[in-house]
Amino acid sequence: MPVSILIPTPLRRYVGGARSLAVEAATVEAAVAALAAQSPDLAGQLLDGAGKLRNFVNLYLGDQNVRVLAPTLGEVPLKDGDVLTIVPAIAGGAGEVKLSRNEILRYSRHLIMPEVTLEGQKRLKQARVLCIGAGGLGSPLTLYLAAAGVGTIGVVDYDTVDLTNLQRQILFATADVGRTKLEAARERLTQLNPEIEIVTHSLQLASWNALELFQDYDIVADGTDNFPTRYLVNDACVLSGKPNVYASIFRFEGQVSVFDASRGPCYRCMFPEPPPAGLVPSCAEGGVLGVLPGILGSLQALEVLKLILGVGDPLIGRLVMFDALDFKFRELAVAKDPLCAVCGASPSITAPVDYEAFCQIRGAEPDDDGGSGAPTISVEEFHRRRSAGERLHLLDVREGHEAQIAEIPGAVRFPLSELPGRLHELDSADTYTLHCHKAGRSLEAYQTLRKAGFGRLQILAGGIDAWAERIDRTLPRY
Amino acid sequence: MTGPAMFRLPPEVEAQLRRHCQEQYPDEACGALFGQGDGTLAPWAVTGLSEAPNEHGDDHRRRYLIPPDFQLQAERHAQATGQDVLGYYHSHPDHPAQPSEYDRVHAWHGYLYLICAVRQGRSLDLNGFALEEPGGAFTAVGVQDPPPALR
Repeated sequence: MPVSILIPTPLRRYVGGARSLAVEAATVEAAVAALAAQSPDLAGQLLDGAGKLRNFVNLYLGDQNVRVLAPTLGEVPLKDGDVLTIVPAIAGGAGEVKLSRNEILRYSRHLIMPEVTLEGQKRLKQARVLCIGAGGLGSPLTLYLAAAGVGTIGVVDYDTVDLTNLQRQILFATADVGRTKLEAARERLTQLNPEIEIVTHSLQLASWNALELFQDYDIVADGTDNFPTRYLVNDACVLSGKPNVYASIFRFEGQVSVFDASRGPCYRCMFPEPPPAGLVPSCAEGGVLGVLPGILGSLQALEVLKLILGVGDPLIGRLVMFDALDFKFRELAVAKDPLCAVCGASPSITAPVDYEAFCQIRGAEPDDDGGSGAPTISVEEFHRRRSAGERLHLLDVREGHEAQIAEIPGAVRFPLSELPGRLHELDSADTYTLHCHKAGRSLEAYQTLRKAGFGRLQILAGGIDAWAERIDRTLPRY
Repeated sequence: MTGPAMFRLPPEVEAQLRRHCQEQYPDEACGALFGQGDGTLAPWAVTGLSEAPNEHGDDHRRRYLIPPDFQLQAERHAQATGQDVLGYYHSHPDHPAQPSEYDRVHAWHGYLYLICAVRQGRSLDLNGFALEEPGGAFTAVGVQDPPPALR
């Protein structure tokens, strides 16, 4: 009997791309044998070693599955013009997540909570969270996420552990000084919870790698300390549809919020543009009380866990500000901006952009004083010229309490906060060299003086930190 | 095959796929993808889809099984409209859009598999995969953007 067999797409390569084949056969078994004769590879796909139809292959005669027509294919007769259709079984799925006995014991204080239960703990195990920065915020954040059993924790950082980090970055120990943060973090987090996976990303987040990196994660937690990265994380989260659990800290104050553009505002709705250069010093410039990132990073971890578990009311559309000195939490409603450049109705930002240029806040990078147009002088050059007898005015724009830690001999104290009221003490015909701890406040002082008509200004590159490192090693660094 | 395998998905089809995956949450959604294809790893140009019932009896949240009767209808529909079944899609509720070992074991070389992650009822990443060879490993299939419309 001439019958036709319809071939599904994945099997057509075995029959020269044909959608259907005509064969002569009196039974289904004979038809399958005729088909198998055309290609041994095809036969291997359809039949098992005993020549029987494989479990994951269905064969239809008209509208009837041949398996229900008769126990064996040889018993199913064919008539002229019959159509056989091969239907490969399609199945799959995310797969079962199981908790081992050890994990059940480890997470038992979660499992007995009705808001978590075994189901919630499995969600935590499946979750993938990317933490940007292994610093003050990233320390409690990654530690608590690891302890809670978040299955995959990605950490982005490219720094090494420095002695000045240990006052707040509790992820690291004194013996870790000099190691890469990622290496030390992986070791510490794995010691805390060997059941989870720590993925380290040794890179500087940039416009060209952010989207690809975020793709592998469900939630991003921003623990950065600078504006270029913060805007980049925000925009890349909006563009890739990931919630951004955000916190920031300064001295005694902290902020925390959840930016999820599909359900509320993004960071840019609240702050469309970064602040002017130098207005907001980094922690390296302004300092931070060590326990403060511990509080804010823990709040971030809390919001990440709530998002994964789907419990409670996430901090979407709300910015919580914490003032440690007054011990006050204040909450600010943040509305979604329909004109937002990245999450608004007609966004102008449709791909991550070069944020270094966009922010123009090089002062946020502690060692960087370029890019502002301000002339600089190296500590070596300054030292050489002054040693040669040249009379140079050096203005120290740090606050008085910092001068108690270390001073460059001969520097005149002009704290930035007092500068506008003390301009009359300076002579605009003179040349002034400005220094601070590193560079940020010198740049701000430079701009203040420029506006006041001072034309002969330069910045001591790297500030007193560079001086203590390269000129006078007896000075303490901080 | 030259260059990395790619797939193309018109916005309206993608929207339908995501909507289906969201509606079925927290269960897994699944369905067939239509287009023109010869079963090689050529660029898959998806032109439409058909939503399938998920017949996995035991665990709809972690598994899907497309009823063979549905597949037969899908094959008939493809034939009647001059198309082919290019592959299948399914969702991963609260799970990344990456194929599981279970997906791999049950996959057919030559089909395009789209996996859509759905978290808390909201669709997230949508990734394409195909087997490198029968019984082999999955390889990621990139999205090929359609050429820009001329004005």
